[in-house]
Amino acid sequence: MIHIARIEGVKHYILVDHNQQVIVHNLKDYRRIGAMICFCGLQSYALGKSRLKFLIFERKNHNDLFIFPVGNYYLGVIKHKTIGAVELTHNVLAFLNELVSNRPDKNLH
Amino acid sequence: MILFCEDCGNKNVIGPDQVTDHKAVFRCSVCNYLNSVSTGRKTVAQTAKTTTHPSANDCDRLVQTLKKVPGLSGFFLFHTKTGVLQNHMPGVLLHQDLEIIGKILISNIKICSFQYPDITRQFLVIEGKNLVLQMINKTCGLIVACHTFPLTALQEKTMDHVARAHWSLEA
Repeated sequence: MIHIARIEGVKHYILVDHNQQVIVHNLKDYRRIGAMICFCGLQSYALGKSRLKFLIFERKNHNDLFIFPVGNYYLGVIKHKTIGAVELTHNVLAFLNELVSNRPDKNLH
Repeated sequence: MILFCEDCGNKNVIGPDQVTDHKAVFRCSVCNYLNSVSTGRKTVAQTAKTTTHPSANDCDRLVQTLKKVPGLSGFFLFHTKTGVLQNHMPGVLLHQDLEIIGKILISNIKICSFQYPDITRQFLVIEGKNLVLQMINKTCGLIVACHTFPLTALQEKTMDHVARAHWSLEA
């Protein structure tokens, strides 16, 4: 999962589980952001269920926040301002699909 | 004339005798709050000083603007205190559904705004349909449903226009 940092357009990342437990991150204020991502992820899951693809919070400085549901986890990504939202979501979703398909136990989904 | 209470958001019917010099002063029929609302064609900034709730005229203008935008499945306005204000969503969604959608999207953006105060918009991308929340002031948000992600240029332009017009209310 730490390879997420190498994806083009990813400035910061954080992976949290459903209990707000931060698994991996490269953020300073990771506890607070982890709790926030978990809250928003769970709330949005209530609307989209398994068809929820991702959530975006657009920011004025263009470092938008993305939340991707990954099995029992939520992946938060803050994008670089130089990359577009569509490109970033494409890159991250491709990475997640590859990650899941390469796992022998495939327990992320 | 229909005006919404600044405090509880209830709809009030105002007679011409209650309007003096482009200003309506009325007591809300539900919460008894004394409202003083600009009704004339004053500047946006002047209107902002008197209300944080979109007036009926504002709502109508907003609805007319959004109805002209292609590719939107529907939209509604959601007030944090009073819930759904203007419903132009497909009939399959019940009022309770919209209340839940509105509450969830607004609570998401509020929680994230503590950490990132410059958040302007929220996208919820679900297979086959997307929801976009654009806050139009501190208590009221416009929620739009559409099939495409990202928004088309016209949809983006309209949302920006809506946002700019109403953000300036709070300047």
